[in-house]
Amino acid sequence: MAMEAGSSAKGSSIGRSIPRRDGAGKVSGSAIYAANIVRPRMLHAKVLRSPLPRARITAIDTSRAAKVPGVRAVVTARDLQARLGCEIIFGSVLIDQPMLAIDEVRHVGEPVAAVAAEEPEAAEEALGLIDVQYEELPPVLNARDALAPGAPLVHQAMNLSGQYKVFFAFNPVAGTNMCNHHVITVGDLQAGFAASDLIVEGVYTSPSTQHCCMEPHATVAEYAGGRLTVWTSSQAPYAVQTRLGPLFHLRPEQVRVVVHNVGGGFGGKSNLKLEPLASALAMLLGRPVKHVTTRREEFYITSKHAVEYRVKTGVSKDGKLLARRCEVLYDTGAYAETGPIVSMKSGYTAAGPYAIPNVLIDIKCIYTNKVPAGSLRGLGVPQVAWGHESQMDEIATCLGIDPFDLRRRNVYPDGGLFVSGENLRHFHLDTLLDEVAAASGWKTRRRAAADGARLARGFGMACTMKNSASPTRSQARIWLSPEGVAEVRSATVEIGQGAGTVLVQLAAESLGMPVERVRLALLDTDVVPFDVGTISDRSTFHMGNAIVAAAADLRRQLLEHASRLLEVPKENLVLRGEAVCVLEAPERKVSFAEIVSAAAPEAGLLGEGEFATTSRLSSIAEQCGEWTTPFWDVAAAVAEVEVDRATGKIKVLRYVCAADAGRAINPALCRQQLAGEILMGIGMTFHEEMRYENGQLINPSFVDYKMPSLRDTPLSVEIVLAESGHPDGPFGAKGIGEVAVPQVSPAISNAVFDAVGIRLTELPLTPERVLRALRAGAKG
Amino acid sequence: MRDFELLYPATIAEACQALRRHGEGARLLAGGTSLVQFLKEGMYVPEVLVALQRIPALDAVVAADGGLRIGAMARLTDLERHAALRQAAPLLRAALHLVGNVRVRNVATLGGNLCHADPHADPPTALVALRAEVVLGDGAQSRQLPVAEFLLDYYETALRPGELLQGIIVPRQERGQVSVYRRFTAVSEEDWPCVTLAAVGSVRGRAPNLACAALRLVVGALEPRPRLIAGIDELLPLEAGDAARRETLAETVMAQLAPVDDLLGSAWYKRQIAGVLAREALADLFQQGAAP
Ligand SMILES: Cc1cc2nc3c(=O)[nH]c(=O)nc-3n(C[C@H](O)[C@H](O)[C@H](O)COP(=O)(O)OP(=O)(O)OC[C@H]3O[C@@H](n4cnc5c(N)ncnc54)[C@H](O)[C@@H]3O)c2cc1C
Repeated sequence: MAMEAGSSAKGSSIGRSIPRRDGAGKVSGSAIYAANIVRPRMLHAKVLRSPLPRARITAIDTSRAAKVPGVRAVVTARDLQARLGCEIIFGSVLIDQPMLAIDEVRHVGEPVAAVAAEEPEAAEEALGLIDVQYEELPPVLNARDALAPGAPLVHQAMNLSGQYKVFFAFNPVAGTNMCNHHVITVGDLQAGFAASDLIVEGVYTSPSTQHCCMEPHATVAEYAGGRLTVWTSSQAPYAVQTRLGPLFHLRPEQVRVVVHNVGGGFGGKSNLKLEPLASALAMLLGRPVKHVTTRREEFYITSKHAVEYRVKTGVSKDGKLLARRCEVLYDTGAYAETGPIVSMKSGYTAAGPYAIPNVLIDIKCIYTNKVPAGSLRGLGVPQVAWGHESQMDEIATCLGIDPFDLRRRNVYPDGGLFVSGENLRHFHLDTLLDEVAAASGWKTRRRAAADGARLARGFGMACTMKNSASPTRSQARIWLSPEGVAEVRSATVEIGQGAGTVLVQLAAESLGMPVERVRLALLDTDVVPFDVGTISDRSTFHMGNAIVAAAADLRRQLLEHASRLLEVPKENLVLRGEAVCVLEAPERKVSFAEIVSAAAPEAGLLGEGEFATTSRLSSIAEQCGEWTTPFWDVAAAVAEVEVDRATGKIKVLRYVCAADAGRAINPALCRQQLAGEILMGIGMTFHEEMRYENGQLINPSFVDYKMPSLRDTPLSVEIVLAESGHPDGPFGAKGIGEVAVPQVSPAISNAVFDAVGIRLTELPLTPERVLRALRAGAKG
Repeated sequence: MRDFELLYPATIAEACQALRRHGEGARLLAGGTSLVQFLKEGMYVPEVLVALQRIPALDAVVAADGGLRIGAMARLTDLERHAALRQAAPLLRAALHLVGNVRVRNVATLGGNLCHADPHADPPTALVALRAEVVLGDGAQSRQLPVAEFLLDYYETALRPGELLQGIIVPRQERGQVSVYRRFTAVSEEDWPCVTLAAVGSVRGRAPNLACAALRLVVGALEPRPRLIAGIDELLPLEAGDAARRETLAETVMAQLAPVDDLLGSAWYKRQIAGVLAREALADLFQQGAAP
């Protein structure tokens, strides 16, 4: 890989592809993960999981399991409740998920009993000896069925006590399986349809998929001296702290969370997962407890929402969208997880990035007896974009308008009035469409193969918008050591995205220091200040801003001290090359190390910074025009595919994506992120699906659940990295960790339509689905 | 995964002794690429693993009458690169090259692949087309069996208790014989194949008046064992220009298969693909036959 030399005092640290901070440790195998943590007297936990999607537990006999040598405890929900005397139900939005099933199991793979033993093998053996009696109950296996009158209720009563109202409008409907229902209306839908020349309707479905992190979930919990310490594979250590504490009647400061490296998150490690049970066992047994899941178990912990997206659009002859009605059903599985957030946040963009005067969006987040679904890269937007971008193409075909022109005619301009009532701020999707069209040669594209030939080629396009979490808060500290080395203390988690590297670059730039002189502190909540989590594309923007603020605080202190030492007013001083110099006479200076030794010998200086956003999604309930997000993720993409008419196999020949990074702090990392997103989108498009049969997951392993391999990547991936400079971002930067996922499926499917004239509405696009559609098309 | 004892016998006789001593509790370990997966899934719970790595020359490839004898422990990558094998059995080489990925092929052995008896495996389809035989031994005696009779069912072979696979005898492909190996993956490129097909035949004449005779077609991955397509002799010799008869041949292939619906595709789809592979294979044979 070509790499620029390390930064020096001369050059800026911004816009440079410096090597990743986490790279050497990971490549050499020295990087520490939660599963590597070993504590004295540590026990190993294993969990017995439900074999049924829905059943009453009538009896659990743990006596035989308890006799296995090395087993220290076999516990059920009843044991935890009785012996801990605390709440054993947790959740992200609704407090609805028990650490161990209480009387009823609600999905296959739900934890029913736990074993703690001296060795994992003993725990494993004991699992096989636990005898559970179930009385099967009829399960609800998809969102549509769950809405039917008389459908069994996955939760007899919804516990609304623990809702986190801050994020978004939230409306669970008692007596139904809907844990969030929301309707957004703009204009007069009926009038819009009445005025339309063409009405197009469709249903687009996408299945549940897995995060497939390289590192499975892992937690070590230890309770000692009235404090609970957890080492865990979490994207959101402070969310763990703030949500774990109350479960055990502990104050936040009594919970310490340590996060070393995390081997991939993609949203699947953003809320409580293994931490509650591991902590409960540690508290119960008075010994540290480690719980690491197997690959198979990973499939039962969390997933992406299966979505049914129903859309009806009215258009004028000249291609102006006049009305759109969307109904979006999100199958959130047995526990709400972040489902209410996912549904709301992707739901309010479900009409797509288009200025449509009359809109109705009906958002339903629905409990079923399946694996819980939560956040997964793109947060529901890939599922809705699959629908609205496919339909844009259908409209273009019906009207005989180029799909690019149709999008360009309707896409929101910067400042456009969004369905939320807000004016879209710093929204440059129109430019990105132009850029992707130019880079891909859209206007001069030629379909290669003639009709009738076995192989056919085609081009497709898609563009999407996604928000970022808000309101949220990030705090940061920068410690300047007596030797003049800066240490960044931040709760942003390195989940493989390169955040640590980018934050170091931002700190270095803000302090005028070379990146080599900036290091990152271990992520320990006893050391690093608050951050809501490494989620929603927010770290570069939010934590980046907090670090810039902390650096400003440190700069101010340095100038004040230097002013005293040099006897020159602050206004006449500048920071340059790890020193403070006199503006007019740069040779008169005092180095950072000298300042620290004079001002705070041995202690060092501490700069503090904070960044918080106030925009909130809850405002859209009132459509009061407040911003709903601090920045918008926008991107546009073009795919060129080749379809084999004999087998139905699709090959992606070329994929071009234009995404706006605001400012690329580290261009190589930006490109890596975008390429990774496209590959993840390829997986969602062609390969990935959690397959259920009668409520049983039938492919919970990498033998049967296929992620794309390198041999499945498009032959060529081209990235146009736009840098429009976000006015609120640190040095103009914003997040790009999710932006390029949602276009992949529709862009490819639209290209398939262009190639062979079939319209696919179900993901994944397996060759069999393609072949069946081709045959059906040939007949009809 | 449960604890087990790991033995490294020095001879075939020792290995077979260990198998007899531990009976059901023992498993042979070759490259481990399939075995370890089964251990992790709890499909096998052995007390003893008998490793074959240290038995001398069990990975040797030597000339045998009319062909090659491949030691059971020969690794797929080594075989792919083996000059004599490339010459003697290009069909097998083509199949080996498509197994999994290079990391798997660097460790996996041909013996392990056959004994694992996964119907989706690539080499068996080619080996049946080539009329290869296995050499089975119990340390004292050995016997020989066509690969077609060695493979019985899902993960089941004709190995008797206390017996192991010593080697595979692959007849030399004759001069003028052409061959094709094809596989189709329905999901990821690195997935197990949904359908495999091997064809061996001889093509005579000068382009465009080519005719294919002595054709052997084997389809794998669809049934518990590779299926040798029957009843094609009456379509032979098959002339390259006889489109109708070529189509009849493809339909003959499709008609004989009994695929099942599974994660890799429906029975209908797999049958379509088998037809596609058969047509492709024929075209390829003729193309090879036309080459000077
Ligand atoms: C990711 C992945 C992808 C794969 N893709 C493919 C593919 O596309 N096509 C394909 O054909 N295969 C594929 N495989 C399977 C692989 O080719 C086989 O697992 C391999 O060839 C087995 O050889 P081994 O030496 O590793 O056997 P092992 O795993 O060591 O043994 C397999 C079985 O054979 C038994 N055994 C081994 N040697 C002997 C012997 N000499 N005598 C008697 N019994 C014996 C063992 O006891 C065990 O039951 C894939 C495997 C992996 C892990």
